[in-house]
Amino acid sequence: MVSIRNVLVSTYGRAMRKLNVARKHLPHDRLVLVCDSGDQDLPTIRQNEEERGGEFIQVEVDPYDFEACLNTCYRTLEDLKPLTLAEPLPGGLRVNISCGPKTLVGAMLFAAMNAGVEAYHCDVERATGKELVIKLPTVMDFEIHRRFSSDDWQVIGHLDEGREVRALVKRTGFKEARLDRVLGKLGHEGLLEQVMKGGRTWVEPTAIGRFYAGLAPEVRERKVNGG
Amino acid sequence: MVTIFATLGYVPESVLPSLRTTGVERLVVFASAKDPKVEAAVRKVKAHCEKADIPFTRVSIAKPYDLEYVAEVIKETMDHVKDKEAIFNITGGTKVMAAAALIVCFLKGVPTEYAQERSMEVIRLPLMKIDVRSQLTRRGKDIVRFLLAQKEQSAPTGKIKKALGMEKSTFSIHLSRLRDKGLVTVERDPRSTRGQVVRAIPTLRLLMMED
Repeated sequence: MVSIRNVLVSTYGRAMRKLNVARKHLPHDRLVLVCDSGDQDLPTIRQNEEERGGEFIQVEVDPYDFEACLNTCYRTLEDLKPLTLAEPLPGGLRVNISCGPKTLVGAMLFAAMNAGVEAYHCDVERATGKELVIKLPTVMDFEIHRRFSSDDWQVIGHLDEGREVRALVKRTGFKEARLDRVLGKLGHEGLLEQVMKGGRTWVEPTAIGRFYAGLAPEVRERKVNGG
Repeated sequence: MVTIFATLGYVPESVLPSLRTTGVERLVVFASAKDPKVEAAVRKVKAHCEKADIPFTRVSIAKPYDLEYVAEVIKETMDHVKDKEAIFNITGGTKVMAAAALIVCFLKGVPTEYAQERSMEVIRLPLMKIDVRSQLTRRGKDIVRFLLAQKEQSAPTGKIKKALGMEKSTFSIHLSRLRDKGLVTVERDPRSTRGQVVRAIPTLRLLMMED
């Protein structure tokens, strides 16, 4: 059985050369590729990893479905975090975003920023052939529950689907002015849009809004447990 | 009216779908310098803009593989059109350019879009904003600002404590928080036997960007 301390999570899509730079420079006992299931390079990559005594896992996603990419990337990182934090020899969780379509790359970078995981871009410079390992600016211990205020999270918890503003007033117990303030802020950050339907104002979540709504229960739990 | 920003590589078609957006006020393209294929793509996009009567600006990227440099150029350019509606097309250019654009857009809260390779159908990525400054304590921010004001973005621990009037224990707490977040590194001071030097990570200025 392989002892897992260092995990490398990478986006993938027909870019073996870039992935090889990441595999060479970012230490790992387990390689996790987030990509389309049909990629023809996967058997070779699996074989290479197993030959060097490592583990290989593929996480399937439609790389052009942004919302699916975002949820899959974030969940993958959160699930892997405890593995690399095990005592007495904590390892590292690193993300490489250099391969695959830019929808997947964007989702993985956003997920890494929200999960507080180190992210890298590995590439080969066209003109010189020089291998590049670029550390991207992410904050390593970024805590998701501190991303928004308590009021914000309370509203976010109801962004799983579109709701009328009046329904949100009831569900949150907020006065209208307080709710308006939160809705304005979350709208500015791209979590929701306010639209008129049949003469009434509705709050419609965006893909990002639904993503955070999915996280709201565990944020509540963390707060209750003093996290 | 909306300003379209775009990274551009060899494929002029990667930018054109964004110009179909209603009310395009201007197109600002970031393209590598001194690459004949990129120059050809820039000429094509410029000609298209002239036909459509859309003002066109080209910003040359001298170091397309230097993330920090590219991000600074993008940020400075976008600062000039601060209060206008903007969309960033990240389809073209090197992946480093696209990653730099994404990071700037996440920090500034500017929506991005991507034209699919084959169909050139535009996928609008939802607005995603991250405010890293809200993750720092007031004293943590003081240390960061002090470091960023230094010539090499680094300073001995003693100098920082003295300049900010911080007690040793308070300073240690805030410094270790910044180190845990991966925002600074602490090294031995080569000029002293016991001293230490605090150094900001190269992309710290970018993370701390002011709106």
